[in-house]
Amino acid sequence: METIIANLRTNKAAKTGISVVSVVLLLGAVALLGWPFFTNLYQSRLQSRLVKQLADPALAQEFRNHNVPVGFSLTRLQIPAIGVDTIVVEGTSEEALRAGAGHYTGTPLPCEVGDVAIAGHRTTYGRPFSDVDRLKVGDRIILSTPIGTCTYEVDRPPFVVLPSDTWVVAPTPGRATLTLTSCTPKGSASHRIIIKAVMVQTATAA
Amino acid sequence: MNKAIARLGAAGAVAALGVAIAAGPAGADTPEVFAASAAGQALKLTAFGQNVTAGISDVKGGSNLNVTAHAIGELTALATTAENTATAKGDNQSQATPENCGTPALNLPLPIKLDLACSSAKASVANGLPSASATGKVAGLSLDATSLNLPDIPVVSQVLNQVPLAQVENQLNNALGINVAQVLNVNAATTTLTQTLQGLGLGNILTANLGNSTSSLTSAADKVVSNATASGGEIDILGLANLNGKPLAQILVGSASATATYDRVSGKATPSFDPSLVTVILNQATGQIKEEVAPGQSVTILAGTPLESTITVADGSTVKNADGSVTATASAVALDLLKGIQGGIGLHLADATASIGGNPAVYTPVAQATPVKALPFTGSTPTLPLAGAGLLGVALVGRRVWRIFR
Repeated sequence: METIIANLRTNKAAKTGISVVSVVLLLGAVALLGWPFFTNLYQSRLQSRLVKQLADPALAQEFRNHNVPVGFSLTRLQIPAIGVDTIVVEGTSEEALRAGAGHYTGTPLPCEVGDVAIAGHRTTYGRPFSDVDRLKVGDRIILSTPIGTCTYEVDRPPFVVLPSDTWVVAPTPGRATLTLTSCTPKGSASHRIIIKAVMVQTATAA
Repeated sequence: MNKAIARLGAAGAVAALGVAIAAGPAGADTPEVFAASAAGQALKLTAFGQNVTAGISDVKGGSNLNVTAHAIGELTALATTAENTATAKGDNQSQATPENCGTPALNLPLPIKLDLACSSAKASVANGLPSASATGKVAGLSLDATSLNLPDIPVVSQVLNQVPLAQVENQLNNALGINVAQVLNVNAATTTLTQTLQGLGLGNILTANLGNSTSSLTSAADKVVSNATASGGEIDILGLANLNGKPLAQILVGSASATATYDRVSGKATPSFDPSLVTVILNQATGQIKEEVAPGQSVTILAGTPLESTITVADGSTVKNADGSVTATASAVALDLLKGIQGGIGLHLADATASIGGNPAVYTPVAQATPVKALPFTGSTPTLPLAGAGLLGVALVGRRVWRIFR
């Protein structure tokens, strides 16, 4: 052992290697610990672009044609009770959800009849759904699309399901409803928290 | 070199992953279809077998994004006065035409005059939402009493000049609330109806102050509404200056409105109407008799005389058509005036009609490339911060070791 230590004292290459490895590990630690902060920065910059995109008349036409590309702006989501104001994109892929919140493709578009489903991040990428567990019955959720605005009202307290419980986003023929999903508990993805709402105010012209 | 590496610091690297953008596959859509129209008419005059229509407006449009607004100040079989048309075909198109006015010329055996007739129209499609409005109006019409002195108008000379006061004395006395022969100090048997009316200071035989008709089509993300509103007006019959300065009869006609609404979400079409309210006022020498005429009812004044006039208030109606569309109609008032004079003058005021119908879009939800097996991952894992803390610990240990052996 003393021989090894003595060799390390004299071996310049070994000392350099230890230095490099420690710096790399330090950088890795910063990246991992700062990951939520970095994702929030990224999402904030992306949201600035999405706000402009939502106002584009070309997008309004795509919306009417039910042909909004994945990753493109779809609707503005506001929940005054918990201070949420974010642009939701089309799609719930990992890439699409880097915008913060995404619309389940295959569910009706916002303000249409049926169950509109939107997933949102809880602790990263702007964490728009961070406080959805605080929503109460009667709280309002406003969706502003390129062609109109509608308001939903939470009609039951938030509840928790397993990730495999996809029945929560099942169609609701003849009824205009909204489902928000996010991971729970915070910092974990073991379950999903679900918010259910019904449309209470018909859409108005944008 | 070690110092250079050490100076790298904890900059951190954020992986800037590009957002994958790909066009989603199109669903098997059945596009939305709707069509709407509305039409209003302020006045239709029928006299001596001829028709004159004034204050005409109509709009139509639909999901094909073609919209038309059309209005006419006055229309006869021979001429059109103050006509206006605006169209918009396609999204983000619009047209608004300035108000167009003109003085109609009628070709009737009686010198009925129509006041200035005007029209305006505009149509637009903005962000896929069609809209249109059209207004047609004519300020009024009049038939003054000087025509009674014109010997070359046979309808007058053959009727009014041939009717002795005695023949209609009871009816006139009841309508006016006076003994006409006594008041005028004339012999009822030898005094003609014309002379009687002149003795009473007849001014205008007929005066109508009219409103306009407006038809509109408005669209929103959730509904389309077509509406026609036809303003009524005030009709004065036989202005008698020597009686009380007021017309013998005043007919106050309120506006009528027909509306048809299409719900773009449910596909349901709903018609409705607001019928006109009509009040008939008889201005007698001793005071006024006022009568509200309900929809479906009629009132006749000066019955049994050449001046007999009937006011019929029409009710509105709603109809569901065979194609599923709906129509609402509000017909205000039909006035058959001075029926004893060659069939009289027919006035039809405040007609409004609105129709709408359609089917909402039906689309097949975009098929997932892979079925949704689980609700999306929108959280984080506790392993990240733990791993970060672990790496930080190992890094600090490594720096400590490096310092020891430096």
